[in-house]
Amino acid sequence: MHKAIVTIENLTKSYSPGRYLHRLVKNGRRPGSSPDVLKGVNLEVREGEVLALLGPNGAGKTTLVEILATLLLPSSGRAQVCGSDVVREAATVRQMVSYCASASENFYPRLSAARNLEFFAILNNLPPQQARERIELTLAHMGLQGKGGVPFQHYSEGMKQKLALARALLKNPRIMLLDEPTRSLDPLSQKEIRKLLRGLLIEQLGKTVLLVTHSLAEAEEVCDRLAILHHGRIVALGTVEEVKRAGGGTDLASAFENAVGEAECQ
Amino acid sequence: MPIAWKAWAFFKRDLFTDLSYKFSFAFQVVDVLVAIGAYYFLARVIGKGAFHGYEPFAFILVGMAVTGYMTTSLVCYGQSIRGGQPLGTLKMVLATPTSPVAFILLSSLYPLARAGFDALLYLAGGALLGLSLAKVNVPAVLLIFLLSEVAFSSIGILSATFTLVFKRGDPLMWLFGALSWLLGGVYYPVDILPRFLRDAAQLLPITHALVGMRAALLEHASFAALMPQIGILGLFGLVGLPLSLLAFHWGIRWAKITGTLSHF
Repeated sequence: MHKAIVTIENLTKSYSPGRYLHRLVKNGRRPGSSPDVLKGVNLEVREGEVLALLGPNGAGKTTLVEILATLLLPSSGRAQVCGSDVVREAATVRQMVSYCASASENFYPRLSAARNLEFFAILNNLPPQQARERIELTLAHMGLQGKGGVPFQHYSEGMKQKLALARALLKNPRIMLLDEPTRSLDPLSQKEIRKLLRGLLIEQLGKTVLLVTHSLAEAEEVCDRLAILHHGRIVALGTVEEVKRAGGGTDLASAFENAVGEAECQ
Repeated sequence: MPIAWKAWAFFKRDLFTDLSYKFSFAFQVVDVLVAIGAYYFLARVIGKGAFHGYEPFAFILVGMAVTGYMTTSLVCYGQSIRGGQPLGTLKMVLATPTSPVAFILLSSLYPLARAGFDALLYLAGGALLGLSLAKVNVPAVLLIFLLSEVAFSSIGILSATFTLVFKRGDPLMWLFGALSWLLGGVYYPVDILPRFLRDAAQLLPITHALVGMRAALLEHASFAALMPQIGILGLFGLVGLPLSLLAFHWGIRWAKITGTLSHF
Protein backbone atom coordinates (compact mmCIF):
# COMPACT_ATOMS: atom_id res chain seq x y z
CA MET A 1 0.00 0.00 0.00
CA HIS A 2 1.42 3.38 -1.03
CA LYS A 3 1.44 6.20 1.52
CA ALA A 4 -0.98 9.13 1.17
CA ILE A 5 0.56 12.09 -0.62
CA VAL A 6 -2.56 14.27 -0.30
CA THR A 7 -4.64 14.23 2.86
CA ILE A 8 -7.93 16.08 3.06
CA GLU A 9 -9.74 16.17 6.38
CA ASN A 10 -13.23 17.52 6.97
CA LEU A 11 -12.72 20.21 4.36
CA THR A 12 -15.47 22.78 3.83
CA LYS A 13 -15.66 25.71 1.48
CA SER A 14 -18.16 28.52 1.26
CA TYR A 15 -17.70 31.47 -1.07
CA SER A 16 -19.36 33.75 1.45
CA PRO A 17 -16.73 35.99 3.07
CA GLY A 18 -19.03 36.50 6.06
CA ARG A 19 -18.97 32.78 6.74
CA TYR A 20 -15.18 32.70 6.51
CA LEU A 21 -14.72 35.67 8.84
CA HIS A 22 -17.28 34.30 11.29
CA ARG A 23 -15.47 30.98 11.43
CA LEU A 24 -12.18 32.73 11.75
CA VAL A 25 -13.40 34.63 14.79
CA LYS A 26 -15.82 32.23 16.46
CA ASN A 27 -15.17 28.91 14.76
CA GLY A 28 -18.91 28.49 14.32
CA ARG A 29 -21.58 28.63 11.63
CA ARG A 30 -23.45 31.76 10.82
CA PRO A 31 -27.09 30.92 10.11
CA GLY A 32 -28.48 32.06 6.78
CA SER A 33 -25.19 32.48 4.98
CA SER A 34 -24.59 30.93 1.55
CA PRO A 35 -24.39 27.12 1.42
CA ASP A 36 -21.08 25.32 1.51
CA VAL A 37 -19.73 24.12 -1.82
CA LEU A 38 -17.71 21.50 0.04
CA LYS A 39 -19.25 19.94 3.16
CA GLY A 40 -16.67 18.07 5.17
CA VAL A 41 -14.71 16.27 2.47
CA ASN A 42 -12.34 13.52 3.63
CA LEU A 43 -10.06 12.04 1.00
CA GLU A 44 -6.58 10.66 0.47
CA VAL A 45 -4.58 10.46 -2.72
CA ARG A 46 -1.87 7.82 -2.57
CA GLU A 47 1.57 8.18 -4.04
CA GLY A 48 1.78 6.99 -7.64
CA GLU A 49 -1.96 6.52 -8.16
CA VAL A 50 -4.45 8.20 -10.45
CA LEU A 51 -7.52 9.19 -8.51
CA ALA A 52 -10.41 10.31 -10.69
CA LEU A 53 -12.81 12.83 -9.20
CA LEU A 54 -16.24 12.48 -10.75
CA GLY A 55 -19.45 14.31 -10.06
CA PRO A 56 -22.27 16.31 -11.63
CA ASN A 57 -21.80 19.98 -12.52
CA GLY A 58 -21.54 22.13 -9.41
CA ALA A 59 -20.54 19.19 -7.20
CA GLY A 60 -17.42 21.02 -5.99
CA LYS A 61 -14.73 19.18 -7.99
CA THR A 62 -12.93 22.26 -9.30
CA THR A 63 -13.27 23.95 -5.91
CA LEU A 64 -11.53 21.00 -4.26
CA VAL A 65 -8.73 20.97 -6.84
CA GLU A 66 -8.23 24.74 -6.62
CA ILE A 67 -7.89 24.51 -2.84
CA LEU A 68 -5.10 21.97 -3.36
CA ALA A 69 -3.53 24.30 -5.94
CA THR A 70 -3.66 27.10 -3.27
CA LEU A 71 -5.90 29.21 -5.52
CA LEU A 72 -8.76 29.09 -3.02
CA LEU A 73 -8.79 29.23 0.77
CA PRO A 74 -10.88 26.60 2.53
CA SER A 75 -13.46 27.78 5.09
CA SER A 76 -12.57 25.04 7.57
CA GLY A 77 -10.90 21.66 7.76
CA ARG A 78 -7.46 20.78 6.53
CA ALA A 79 -5.68 19.76 3.35
CA GLN A 80 -2.06 18.71 3.16
CA VAL A 81 0.23 17.86 0.27
CA CYS A 82 3.27 15.80 1.30
CA GLY A 83 2.67 16.96 4.87
CA SER A 84 2.54 20.68 3.99
CA ASP A 85 -0.65 22.57 4.77
CA VAL A 86 -2.21 24.25 1.72
CA VAL A 87 -2.99 27.40 3.70
CA ARG A 88 -0.08 27.84 6.10
CA GLU A 89 2.60 26.41 3.81
CA ALA A 90 1.14 27.44 0.47
CA ALA A 91 4.51 28.36 -1.04
CA THR A 92 5.91 24.89 -0.30
CA VAL A 93 2.79 23.25 -1.70
CA ARG A 94 3.13 25.26 -4.92
CA GLN A 95 6.62 23.80 -5.39
CA MET A 96 5.23 20.25 -5.37
CA VAL A 97 1.91 20.62 -7.15
CA SER A 98 1.20 21.33 -10.80
CA TYR A 99 -2.23 22.53 -11.75
CA CYS A 100 -3.66 22.07 -15.22
CA ALA A 101 -6.89 24.11 -15.41
CA SER A 102 -9.90 23.00 -17.40
CA ALA A 103 -9.77 25.82 -19.98
CA SER A 104 -6.93 25.32 -22.40
CA GLU A 105 -6.65 29.03 -23.18
CA ASN A 106 -4.60 30.02 -20.15
CA PHE A 107 -1.46 30.95 -22.09
CA TYR A 108 -0.31 34.19 -23.67
CA PRO A 109 -1.82 33.94 -27.16
CA ARG A 110 0.72 36.03 -29.08
CA LEU A 111 3.78 34.34 -27.62
CA SER A 112 5.16 31.13 -29.04
CA ALA A 113 4.59 27.88 -27.16
CA ALA A 114 8.26 27.75 -26.17
CA ARG A 115 8.24 31.34 -24.86
CA ASN A 116 5.10 30.57 -22.87
CA LEU A 117 6.74 27.50 -21.36
CA GLU A 118 9.94 29.42 -20.65
CA PHE A 119 7.98 32.07 -18.74
CA PHE A 120 6.18 29.52 -16.59
CA ALA A 121 9.33 27.42 -16.08
CA ILE A 122 11.18 30.39 -14.62
CA LEU A 123 8.20 31.31 -12.44
CA ASN A 124 8.46 27.74 -11.16
CA ASN A 125 12.03 28.50 -10.03
CA LEU A 126 13.85 26.64 -12.82
CA PRO A 127 17.14 28.30 -13.80
CA PRO A 128 17.11 29.41 -17.49
CA GLN A 129 19.42 26.63 -18.74
CA GLN A 130 17.46 23.93 -16.95
CA ALA A 131 14.23 25.54 -18.15
CA ARG A 132 15.35 25.24 -21.78
CA GLU A 133 16.25 21.57 -21.31
CA ARG A 134 12.93 20.81 -19.62
CA ILE A 135 11.02 22.65 -22.35
CA GLU A 136 12.64 20.53 -25.07
CA LEU A 137 12.00 17.38 -23.08
CA THR A 138 8.36 18.10 -22.26
CA LEU A 139 7.57 19.24 -25.80
CA ALA A 140 9.05 15.96 -27.03
CA HIS A 141 7.06 13.99 -24.44
CA MET A 142 3.88 15.59 -25.76
CA GLY A 143 4.76 15.07 -29.42
CA LEU A 144 5.13 18.81 -29.96
CA GLN A 145 8.80 18.84 -30.95
CA GLY A 146 9.35 21.32 -33.77
CA LYS A 147 6.18 23.22 -32.79
CA GLY A 148 7.72 25.30 -30.01
CA GLY A 149 8.15 28.36 -32.21
CA VAL A 150 4.48 28.48 -33.24
CA PRO A 151 2.42 31.22 -31.54
CA PHE A 152 0.00 29.73 -29.03
CA GLN A 153 -2.99 31.27 -30.81
CA HIS A 154 -2.23 29.13 -33.88
CA TYR A 155 -2.42 25.89 -31.89
CA SER A 156 -5.38 23.54 -32.26
CA GLU A 157 -7.44 22.59 -29.18
CA GLY A 158 -5.63 19.27 -28.89
CA MET A 159 -2.22 20.92 -29.12
CA LYS A 160 -3.24 23.51 -26.51
CA GLN A 161 -4.22 20.75 -24.12
CA LYS A 162 -0.93 18.96 -24.70
CA LEU A 163 0.92 22.21 -24.09
CA ALA A 164 -0.97 22.63 -20.80
CA LEU A 165 0.21 19.15 -19.79
CA ALA A 166 3.75 20.05 -20.88
CA ARG A 167 3.61 23.13 -18.64
CA ALA A 168 2.38 21.03 -15.73
CA LEU A 169 5.35 18.67 -16.21
CA LEU A 170 8.02 21.38 -16.42
CA LYS A 171 8.90 21.45 -12.75
CA ASN A 172 8.71 17.66 -12.38
CA PRO A 173 5.96 17.90 -9.73
CA ARG A 174 5.14 15.35 -7.05
CA ILE A 175 1.44 15.59 -7.85
CA MET A 176 -0.50 16.77 -10.86
CA LEU A 177 -3.99 18.23 -10.56
CA LEU A 178 -5.69 17.84 -13.92
CA ASP A 179 -9.07 19.53 -14.29
CA GLU A 180 -10.92 18.01 -17.25
CA PRO A 181 -7.92 17.67 -19.57
CA THR A 182 -10.03 16.22 -22.39
CA ARG A 183 -12.86 18.75 -22.28
CA SER A 184 -13.94 20.09 -25.68
CA LEU A 185 -11.64 17.74 -27.56
CA ASP A 186 -12.68 15.52 -30.44
CA PRO A 187 -12.69 11.74 -29.77
CA LEU A 188 -9.30 11.21 -31.43
CA SER A 189 -7.63 13.95 -29.42
CA GLN A 190 -9.30 12.65 -26.26
CA LYS A 191 -7.85 9.23 -26.96
CA GLU A 192 -4.42 10.74 -27.52
CA ILE A 193 -4.51 12.70 -24.25
CA ARG A 194 -5.68 9.64 -22.31
CA LYS A 195 -2.82 7.66 -23.82
CA LEU A 196 -0.43 10.35 -22.64
CA LEU A 197 -2.00 10.34 -19.17
CA ARG A 198 -1.73 6.60 -18.71
CA GLY A 199 1.40 5.87 -20.74
CA LEU A 200 3.56 8.88 -20.00
CA LEU A 201 2.47 10.46 -16.72
CA ILE A 202 1.69 7.30 -14.84
CA GLU A 203 3.58 4.36 -16.32
CA GLN A 204 6.68 6.17 -17.57
CA LEU A 205 7.06 9.09 -15.12
CA GLY A 206 5.23 7.61 -12.13
CA LYS A 207 3.33 10.77 -11.28
CA THR A 208 0.53 10.99 -8.75
CA VAL A 209 -2.52 12.42 -10.49
CA LEU A 210 -5.81 13.81 -9.26
CA LEU A 211 -7.95 13.83 -12.38
CA VAL A 212 -11.22 15.73 -12.53
CA THR A 213 -13.42 14.38 -15.27
CA HIS A 214 -17.01 14.09 -16.41
CA SER A 215 -16.21 11.12 -18.57
CA LEU A 216 -16.93 7.78 -16.92
CA ALA A 217 -15.09 6.02 -19.75
CA GLU A 218 -12.02 8.15 -19.11
CA ALA A 219 -12.13 7.39 -15.40
CA GLU A 220 -12.51 3.71 -16.06
CA GLU A 221 -9.65 3.69 -18.59
CA VAL A 222 -7.15 5.80 -16.71
CA CYS A 223 -7.70 5.74 -12.96
CA ASP A 224 -6.65 3.40 -10.17
CA ARG A 225 -9.39 4.64 -7.83
CA LEU A 226 -12.25 7.06 -8.19
CA ALA A 227 -14.25 9.31 -5.92
CA ILE A 228 -17.71 10.61 -6.68
CA LEU A 229 -18.44 14.05 -5.30
CA HIS A 230 -22.02 15.28 -5.07
CA HIS A 231 -23.30 18.45 -3.41
CA GLY A 232 -19.93 18.88 -1.73
CA ARG A 233 -19.73 15.38 -0.24
CA ILE A 234 -17.86 12.25 -1.26
CA VAL A 235 -20.64 9.76 -1.95
CA ALA A 236 -18.53 6.92 -3.34
CA LEU A 237 -14.86 6.02 -3.15
CA GLY A 238 -12.82 3.02 -4.23
CA THR A 239 -11.51 1.17 -7.24
CA VAL A 240 -13.74 1.05 -10.30
CA GLU A 241 -14.83 -2.46 -9.35
CA GLU A 242 -15.54 -1.49 -5.74
CA VAL A 243 -17.64 1.48 -6.79
CA LYS A 244 -19.52 -0.66 -9.31
CA ARG A 245 -20.24 -3.29 -6.63
CA ALA A 246 -21.28 -0.71 -4.05
CA GLY A 247 -23.63 0.82 -6.62
CA GLY A 248 -25.20 -2.57 -7.18
CA GLY A 249 -24.64 -2.42 -10.91
CA THR A 250 -22.38 -3.94 -13.47
CA ASP A 251 -21.35 -0.73 -15.15
CA LEU A 252 -19.95 2.54 -13.86
CA ALA A 253 -22.80 4.61 -15.30
CA SER A 254 -25.44 2.92 -13.11
CA ALA A 255 -23.11 2.98 -10.10
CA PHE A 256 -22.66 6.72 -10.65
CA GLU A 257 -26.42 7.28 -10.99
CA ASN A 258 -27.12 5.21 -7.88
CA ALA A 259 -24.49 7.00 -5.78
CA VAL A 260 -25.74 10.42 -6.84
CA GLY A 261 -29.39 9.36 -6.55
CA GLU A 262 -28.97 7.98 -3.03
CA ALA A 263 -27.18 11.14 -1.93
CA GLU A 264 -30.05 13.17 -3.42
CA CYS A 265 -32.60 11.20 -1.34
CA GLN A 266 -30.60 11.77 1.85
CA MET B 1 19.20 34.71 -8.56
CA PRO B 2 15.64 33.44 -9.09
CA ILE B 3 14.14 36.90 -8.59
CA ALA B 4 16.40 38.37 -11.31
CA TRP B 5 15.42 35.51 -13.67
CA LYS B 6 11.79 36.13 -12.89
CA ALA B 7 12.17 39.86 -13.48
CA TRP B 8 13.73 39.10 -16.88
CA ALA B 9 10.97 36.56 -17.65
CA PHE B 10 8.23 39.15 -17.01
CA PHE B 11 10.12 41.78 -19.00
CA LYS B 12 10.60 39.42 -21.94
CA ARG B 13 6.97 38.30 -21.86
CA ASP B 14 5.73 41.88 -22.20
CA LEU B 15 8.42 42.95 -24.65
CA PHE B 16 7.70 40.10 -27.07
CA THR B 17 3.96 40.60 -26.72
CA ASP B 18 4.41 44.29 -27.51
CA LEU B 19 6.72 43.57 -30.45
CA SER B 20 4.22 41.09 -31.87
CA TYR B 21 1.93 44.08 -32.56
CA LYS B 22 4.40 45.66 -34.99
CA PHE B 23 2.30 48.58 -36.17
CA SER B 24 0.95 49.37 -32.74
CA PHE B 25 4.51 49.66 -31.39
CA ALA B 26 5.55 51.98 -34.23
CA PHE B 27 2.42 54.10 -33.98
CA GLN B 28 2.89 54.64 -30.25
CA VAL B 29 6.21 56.26 -31.11
CA VAL B 30 4.63 58.32 -33.90
CA ASP B 31 1.90 59.35 -31.46
CA VAL B 32 4.47 60.87 -29.10
CA LEU B 33 6.20 62.70 -31.95
CA VAL B 34 2.90 64.16 -33.22
CA ALA B 35 2.03 65.31 -29.70
CA ILE B 36 5.41 67.05 -29.42
CA GLY B 37 4.67 68.93 -32.65
CA ALA B 38 1.27 70.01 -31.36
CA TYR B 39 2.75 71.30 -28.07
CA TYR B 40 5.43 73.16 -30.00
CA PHE B 41 2.89 75.17 -31.96
CA LEU B 42 0.64 75.64 -28.95
CA ALA B 43 3.59 76.99 -26.95
CA ARG B 44 4.38 79.57 -29.63
CA VAL B 45 1.09 81.39 -29.01
CA ILE B 46 1.53 81.48 -25.20
CA GLY B 47 3.58 84.14 -23.46
CA LYS B 48 6.68 83.19 -21.48
CA GLY B 49 5.75 85.18 -18.36
CA ALA B 50 3.01 82.77 -17.31
CA PHE B 51 5.43 79.88 -16.70
CA HIS B 52 7.79 81.17 -14.00
CA GLY B 53 10.44 82.01 -16.55
CA TYR B 54 10.37 78.61 -18.25
CA GLU B 55 9.91 78.42 -21.99
CA PRO B 56 6.24 77.42 -22.48
CA PHE B 57 7.30 74.57 -24.80
CA ALA B 58 9.75 73.21 -22.22
CA PHE B 59 7.21 73.60 -19.41
CA ILE B 60 4.47 71.70 -21.25
CA LEU B 61 6.81 69.06 -22.64
CA VAL B 62 8.15 68.12 -19.22
CA GLY B 63 4.55 68.13 -17.97
CA MET B 64 3.58 65.65 -20.69
CA ALA B 65 6.61 63.42 -20.15
CA VAL B 66 5.92 63.14 -16.41
CA THR B 67 2.18 62.68 -16.94
CA GLY B 68 2.97 59.91 -19.42
CA TYR B 69 4.88 57.81 -16.95
CA MET B 70 2.48 58.70 -14.15
CA THR B 71 -0.44 57.37 -16.21
CA THR B 72 1.47 54.17 -16.97
CA SER B 73 2.27 53.69 -13.28
CA LEU B 74 -1.37 54.18 -12.38
CA VAL B 75 -2.77 51.76 -14.95
CA CYS B 76 -0.13 49.06 -15.54
CA TYR B 77 -0.72 47.16 -12.29
CA GLY B 78 -4.48 46.99 -12.82
CA GLN B 79 -3.90 45.97 -16.44
CA SER B 80 -1.75 43.04 -15.36
CA ILE B 81 -4.73 41.81 -13.31
CA ARG B 82 -7.41 42.62 -15.88
CA GLY B 83 -5.34 41.14 -18.72
CA GLY B 84 -4.73 37.87 -16.87
CA GLN B 85 -8.31 37.30 -15.74
CA PRO B 86 -10.03 36.57 -19.07
CA LEU B 87 -6.97 34.71 -20.40
CA GLY B 88 -6.81 32.54 -17.28
CA THR B 89 -3.11 33.29 -16.96
CA LEU B 90 -3.56 35.12 -13.64
CA LYS B 91 -4.52 31.86 -11.94
CA MET B 92 -1.74 29.96 -13.64
CA VAL B 93 0.84 32.51 -12.48
CA LEU B 94 -0.52 32.47 -8.94
CA ALA B 95 -0.35 28.67 -8.91
CA THR B 96 3.44 28.89 -9.31
CA PRO B 97 5.85 29.44 -6.38
CA THR B 98 6.08 33.14 -7.36
CA SER B 99 4.49 35.26 -4.65
CA PRO B 100 1.59 37.58 -5.55
CA VAL B 101 3.63 40.60 -4.42
CA ALA B 102 6.53 39.60 -6.69
CA PHE B 103 4.02 39.04 -9.51
CA ILE B 104 2.49 42.51 -9.25
CA LEU B 105 5.83 44.29 -8.92
CA LEU B 106 7.55 42.37 -11.71
CA SER B 107 4.55 42.83 -14.03
CA SER B 108 5.28 46.55 -14.05
CA LEU B 109 8.91 46.31 -15.23
CA TYR B 110 8.29 46.46 -18.95
CA PRO B 111 5.47 49.06 -18.89
CA LEU B 112 7.52 51.34 -16.64
CA ALA B 113 10.65 50.92 -18.78
CA ARG B 114 8.53 51.67 -21.82
CA ALA B 115 7.09 54.76 -20.11
CA GLY B 116 10.65 55.89 -19.32
CA PHE B 117 11.54 55.40 -22.99
CA ASP B 118 8.51 57.50 -24.02
CA ALA B 119 9.57 60.24 -21.59
CA LEU B 120 13.02 60.24 -23.20
CA LEU B 121 11.37 60.40 -26.60
CA TYR B 122 9.48 63.53 -25.49
CA LEU B 123 12.76 65.15 -24.51
CA ALA B 124 14.66 64.03 -27.61
CA GLY B 125 11.83 65.18 -29.90
CA GLY B 126 11.65 68.45 -27.99
CA ALA B 127 15.40 68.94 -28.36
CA LEU B 128 14.99 68.68 -32.14
CA LEU B 129 12.47 71.53 -31.94
CA GLY B 130 14.66 73.77 -29.83
CA LEU B 131 14.22 72.51 -26.26
CA SER B 132 17.42 73.35 -24.43
CA LEU B 133 18.80 70.48 -22.35
CA ALA B 134 22.08 72.23 -21.58
CA LYS B 135 21.28 72.53 -17.87
CA VAL B 136 20.26 68.96 -17.06
CA ASN B 137 21.29 67.54 -13.70
CA VAL B 138 21.20 63.88 -14.77
CA PRO B 139 21.55 62.20 -11.33
CA ALA B 140 18.82 64.48 -9.94
CA VAL B 141 16.54 63.71 -12.89
CA LEU B 142 17.04 59.99 -12.33
CA LEU B 143 16.34 60.30 -8.62
CA ILE B 144 13.15 62.32 -9.14
CA PHE B 145 12.08 59.81 -11.81
CA LEU B 146 12.68 56.87 -9.49
CA LEU B 147 10.99 58.45 -6.46
CA SER B 148 7.98 59.62 -8.44
CA GLU B 149 7.63 56.17 -10.07
CA VAL B 150 7.50 54.59 -6.61
CA ALA B 151 4.98 57.18 -5.39
CA PHE B 152 2.75 56.74 -8.47
CA SER B 153 3.12 52.95 -8.27
CA SER B 154 1.73 52.95 -4.72
CA ILE B 155 -1.50 54.37 -6.10
CA GLY B 156 -1.34 52.02 -9.11
CA ILE B 157 -1.06 48.95 -6.85
CA LEU B 158 -3.97 50.18 -4.72
CA SER B 159 -5.93 50.58 -7.94
CA ALA B 160 -5.02 46.99 -8.95
CA THR B 161 -6.27 45.82 -5.55
CA PHE B 162 -9.53 47.63 -6.20
CA THR B 163 -9.79 45.85 -9.57
CA LEU B 164 -9.15 42.53 -7.87
CA VAL B 165 -11.85 43.05 -5.26
CA PHE B 166 -14.51 45.22 -6.97
CA LYS B 167 -13.60 44.51 -10.63
CA ARG B 168 -14.72 47.83 -12.19
CA GLY B 169 -15.39 51.46 -11.33
CA ASP B 170 -12.06 52.23 -9.73
CA PRO B 171 -12.40 55.58 -7.89
CA LEU B 172 -8.65 55.82 -7.21
CA MET B 173 -7.81 55.95 -10.88
CA TRP B 174 -10.38 58.68 -11.42
CA LEU B 175 -9.33 60.64 -8.36
CA PHE B 176 -5.61 60.63 -9.00
CA GLY B 177 -5.75 60.58 -12.78
CA ALA B 178 -8.23 63.41 -13.28
CA LEU B 179 -7.08 65.53 -10.34
CA SER B 180 -3.46 65.24 -11.41
CA TRP B 181 -4.36 66.68 -14.80
CA LEU B 182 -6.41 69.45 -13.27
CA LEU B 183 -4.31 70.42 -10.27
CA GLY B 184 -0.85 68.93 -10.74
CA GLY B 185 0.61 71.67 -12.93
CA VAL B 186 0.90 69.73 -16.18
CA TYR B 187 -0.16 72.52 -18.57
CA TYR B 188 -0.05 75.53 -16.23
CA PRO B 189 1.68 76.44 -12.96
CA VAL B 190 -0.17 75.48 -9.78
CA ASP B 191 0.14 79.12 -8.61
CA ILE B 192 -2.69 80.26 -10.85
CA LEU B 193 -5.19 78.03 -9.00
CA PRO B 194 -7.39 79.36 -6.19
CA ARG B 195 -5.92 78.91 -2.72
CA PHE B 196 -7.92 75.82 -1.72
CA LEU B 197 -7.07 74.04 -4.97
CA ARG B 198 -3.40 74.96 -4.55
CA ASP B 199 -3.50 73.32 -1.11
CA ALA B 200 -5.22 70.25 -2.54
CA ALA B 201 -2.55 70.06 -5.27
CA GLN B 202 0.11 69.56 -2.58
CA LEU B 203 -1.49 66.21 -1.73
CA LEU B 204 -0.77 64.88 -5.22
CA PRO B 205 2.65 63.36 -5.92
CA ILE B 206 2.64 64.69 -9.49
CA THR B 207 2.74 68.30 -8.23
CA HIS B 208 6.08 67.65 -6.53
CA ALA B 209 7.36 65.40 -9.31
CA LEU B 210 6.75 68.17 -11.86
CA VAL B 211 8.38 70.92 -9.80
CA GLY B 212 11.40 68.70 -9.15
CA MET B 213 11.68 67.38 -12.70
CA ARG B 214 11.44 70.84 -14.31
CA ALA B 215 14.05 72.22 -11.95
CA ALA B 216 16.42 69.26 -12.47
CA LEU B 217 15.95 69.12 -16.24
CA LEU B 218 15.83 72.78 -17.14
CA GLU B 219 17.67 74.66 -14.35
CA HIS B 220 20.37 72.21 -13.21
CA ALA B 221 18.91 72.40 -9.71
CA SER B 222 21.18 70.85 -7.07
CA PHE B 223 20.14 68.03 -4.72
CA ALA B 224 20.00 70.59 -1.91
CA ALA B 225 17.59 72.77 -3.85
CA LEU B 226 15.48 69.71 -4.66
CA MET B 227 15.31 68.45 -1.07
CA PRO B 228 11.66 69.47 -0.52
CA GLN B 229 10.52 67.50 -3.59
CA ILE B 230 12.85 64.57 -2.85
CA GLY B 231 11.60 64.45 0.74
CA ILE B 232 7.90 64.60 -0.13
CA LEU B 233 8.14 62.07 -2.98
CA GLY B 234 10.24 59.80 -0.76
CA LEU B 235 7.60 60.04 1.96
CA PHE B 236 4.81 59.20 -0.50
CA GLY B 237 6.73 56.08 -1.55
CA LEU B 238 7.89 55.09 1.92
CA VAL B 239 4.37 55.15 3.31
CA GLY B 240 2.44 54.33 0.14
CA LEU B 241 4.35 51.32 -1.23
CA PRO B 242 4.22 49.08 1.87
CA LEU B 243 0.57 50.05 2.44
CA SER B 244 -0.40 49.30 -1.16
CA LEU B 245 1.46 45.97 -1.15
CA LEU B 246 -0.27 45.02 2.10
CA ALA B 247 -3.62 45.96 0.57
CA PHE B 248 -2.78 43.88 -2.51
CA HIS B 249 -1.86 40.89 -0.34
CA TRP B 250 -5.27 41.14 1.36
CA GLY B 251 -6.97 41.67 -1.99
CA ILE B 252 -5.55 38.36 -3.23
CA ARG B 253 -6.63 36.71 0.01
CA TRP B 254 -10.14 38.13 -0.42
CA ALA B 255 -10.32 36.80 -3.99
CA LYS B 256 -9.19 33.36 -2.78
CA ILE B 257 -11.92 33.39 -0.11
CA THR B 258 -14.69 34.52 -2.44
CA GLY B 259 -13.47 32.51 -5.43
CA THR B 260 -13.26 35.59 -7.64
CA LEU B 261 -9.63 35.50 -8.78
CA SER B 262 -10.67 35.02 -12.39
CA HIS B 263 -13.90 37.05 -12.25
CA PHE B 264 -13.91 40.28 -14.23
